[in-house]
Amino acid sequence: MSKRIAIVEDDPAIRANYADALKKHGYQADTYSNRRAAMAAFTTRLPDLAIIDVGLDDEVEGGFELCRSLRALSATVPIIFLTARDNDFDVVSGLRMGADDYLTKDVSLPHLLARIAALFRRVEVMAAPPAAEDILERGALRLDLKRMTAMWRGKPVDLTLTEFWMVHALARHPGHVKNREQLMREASMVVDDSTITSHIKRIRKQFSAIETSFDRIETVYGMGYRWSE
Amino acid sequence: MRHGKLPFSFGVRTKVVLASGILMLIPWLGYRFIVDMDHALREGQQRALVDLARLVVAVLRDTPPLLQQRAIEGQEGGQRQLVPVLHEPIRLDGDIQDWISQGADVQAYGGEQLIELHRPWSAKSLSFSHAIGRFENYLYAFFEVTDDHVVYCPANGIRADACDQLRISITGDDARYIVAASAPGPLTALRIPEGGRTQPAPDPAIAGVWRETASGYTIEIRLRAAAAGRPGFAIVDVDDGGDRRVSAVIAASEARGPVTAQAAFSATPELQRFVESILEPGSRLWIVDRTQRVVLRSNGSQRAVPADSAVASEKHNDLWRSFEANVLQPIYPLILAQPDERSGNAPATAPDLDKGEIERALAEKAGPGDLQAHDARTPFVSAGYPIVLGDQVVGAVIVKQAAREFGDIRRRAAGRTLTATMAALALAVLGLIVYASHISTRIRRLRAAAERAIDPVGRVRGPVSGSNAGDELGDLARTISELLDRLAQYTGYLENMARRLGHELRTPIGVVRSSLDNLRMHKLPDEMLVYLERADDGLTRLNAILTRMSESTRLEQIMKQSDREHFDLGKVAASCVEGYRSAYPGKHIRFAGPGTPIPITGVPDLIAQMLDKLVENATDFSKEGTPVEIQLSVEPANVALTVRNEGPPLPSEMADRLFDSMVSVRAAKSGSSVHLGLGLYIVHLVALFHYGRAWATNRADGKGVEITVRLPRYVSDPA
Repeated sequence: MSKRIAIVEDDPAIRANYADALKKHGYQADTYSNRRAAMAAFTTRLPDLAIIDVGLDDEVEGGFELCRSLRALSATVPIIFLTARDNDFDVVSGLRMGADDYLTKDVSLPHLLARIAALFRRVEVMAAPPAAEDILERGALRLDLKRMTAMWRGKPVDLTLTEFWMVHALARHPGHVKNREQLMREASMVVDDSTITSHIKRIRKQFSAIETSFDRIETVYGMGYRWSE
Repeated sequence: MRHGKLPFSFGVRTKVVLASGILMLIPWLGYRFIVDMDHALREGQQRALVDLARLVVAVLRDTPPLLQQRAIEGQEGGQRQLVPVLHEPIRLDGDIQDWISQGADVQAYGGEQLIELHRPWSAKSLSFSHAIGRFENYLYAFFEVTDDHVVYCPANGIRADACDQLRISITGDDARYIVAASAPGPLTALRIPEGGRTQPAPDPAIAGVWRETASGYTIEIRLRAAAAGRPGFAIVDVDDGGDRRVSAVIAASEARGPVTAQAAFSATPELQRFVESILEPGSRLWIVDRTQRVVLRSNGSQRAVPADSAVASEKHNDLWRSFEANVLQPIYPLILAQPDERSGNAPATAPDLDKGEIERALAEKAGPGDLQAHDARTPFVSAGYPIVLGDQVVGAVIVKQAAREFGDIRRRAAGRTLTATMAALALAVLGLIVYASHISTRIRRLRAAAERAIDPVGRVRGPVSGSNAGDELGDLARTISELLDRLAQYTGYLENMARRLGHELRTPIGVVRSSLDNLRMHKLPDEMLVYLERADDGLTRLNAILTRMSESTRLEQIMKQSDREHFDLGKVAASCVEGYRSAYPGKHIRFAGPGTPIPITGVPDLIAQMLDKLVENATDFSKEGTPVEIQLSVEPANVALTVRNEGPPLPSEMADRLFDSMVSVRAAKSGSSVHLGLGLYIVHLVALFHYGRAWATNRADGKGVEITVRLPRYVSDPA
């Protein structure tokens, strides 16, 4: 049975394009142009994954509200935010809503599909009992590459998919400086420098929530970031 | 920013004070008023004097005994006046010696006794000494005359008006004689008949001798003393026999009327008393007769001047008096007509008569008036009134009065007017200064508020204060507020434009990109893929543009959210330089720092971003193969970060605006990099965030440009 993906997007062209691409890749795409229609459908039957635009018709932040409602219905449905807005406020707000990832609308379809695949994989791995594990350990850091989850000193770190990939890229080669472009490639992101800065900032914050003196992610000004041990 | 300020300019306050100079009209008007009042007072005094003169004249006319004809007076006087008795007869030899030996009273007669004058007179031209005496039935008289031109009568006969002569008037028998000579020696006396109807005939009753002297001549006569009275004598001086004109006549004794045949009179003691009783102190009165002889002279009563003004000024307190004495008195002379110095405050009496006045008084048949030319500076006023008997002017009354009392009145009035106007002026000017200061303060405050309303970045901070006033300045403040509002709206619109464009364009870009991606999923002929690549390229560039457009607003958001920390600027810069060396492999990037940590407070990410922009800018403008120098130098309070490059200098007109938003001096050049003129603006924003400033200058060696960012150093708390 193919996965059902809900696309909540008010722009008909993007909606149709995404739906076409998803169908081509074997997903079932349900499209909604506004929050009410989407919510009505969600209450009837939960989708396997939701791609939600932040601005919906006349509701500027209707997407956030929809995300919150959907998260109330299910704690596990992966949610990807899609928006034209890429400033920090939106990022932070979106993540607080419980979304699993956050993409700008100019993301390329292959990138989008990769994320969708990764999120489904994570859901499956989480559901299945841990088998052959693919674990990366760097000191107190433990990355579960199957589940795409991170642990610091034995406690789970709340990271989005993008952030997980960025941590993974840094931690794989400790001491090596990863510049922004490299990080972007690793995280399958097409974003600008300052968005990376805010992602890094958020990653540090999540680690600091567990250990206040966390300082493993080091900024190398003018070059990038590195994982120090 | 102030434009076009003149090197010299007056503030509003100065201008108002200058304009208040118009108020100087007030004291001037006061001065005009005082001058007019002065004239009016003078005219009043003048009129009063004329009235006084007219009164005297009226009294003279209506009370005949006061003004006596000389004939009557002579008669009466003759009875009173006794002729001295001689002890022995006088020899008629023209010599004064036997008079002196008998102790006779020799009296001098001169200008005072002039009864007729037709030529300029001096003591040399005509004066004489006279003595008289009686011996038995004869009267003897002696005259020693000083005369510069002695004119004798022609040999063929004596004429009344052609030669020097002695006139005798005997009041008792009403006889008149002319005594003259055609040569020194014995005299001839002619009796003048009554009414002048017959020719004068020689009269043997008078005998005498004419003797010439160095200064004139002497006459000695003897006449039968039939009459009881003392005769009247007059010496008639003729200087030129040809024109038959009398030069001057001097009378001995007061006997003139009958002698001269002129209307003459003299004052009685009653008249004198009357005049003195009506005359004010400080006034003088003269009565002159037609011959300009002064008949009566009065200096008025010698009563003390009542101290009215003194009493009046007692009312003022000491403060006022000292103010008047020290401040006002020195001012009065500048604006008021002052009496002459000599009479300023000294004698209250008027000066003596002069000839001009007498002549004017006598000449004024038609209407009496001021004998002076109208001159406010003369210390006295004068008036004349002619005495008319029948239709003939027989004399005049002249009154003079010191004008000094007006000085007091005038001064008091002037003082009051001056004080009032000056006080009003001072108050008005003070008020104007206060008001102008108030206005100018408000304007300055408004200007400062307007300047403050826009922050260094050019953003409007808020409305201008003082816009609740109801007047024009309030209107101005409101207008400025409105303008600022619109400017804020416009600036906001411009700022939002970049952001909104970014947002709004993302969706269509998403449409294009997803469409292209969908297209790519189909099997396409290879030649079609080229177009897909090109479309992708275009999209990437479009994205870059959008990113740059919203860069500065994103930066500001980062600034709002970032926490400042202490960090080593040197380390950040050095680390950045490492990155640049790999980012710009073709460029030689030099770095010079102090080697010691340079602690500053701020956000290292922002500093790095600022340095990115500076280096990006420097490499873009540097010539091929030339180095970009980055230098950190520590100053007492600041740290200076300088980025130098060799290349084209700054266009001078852009130097100030280089750090403004959307300003670029780059030539439009082809290439993939996008420049929106935000690079140095971001440098500016970051510098401001760190309480610093950025400058762009041409290098001292002229090879290119250097941009310096000066940031305050972090000085750790010693405690």
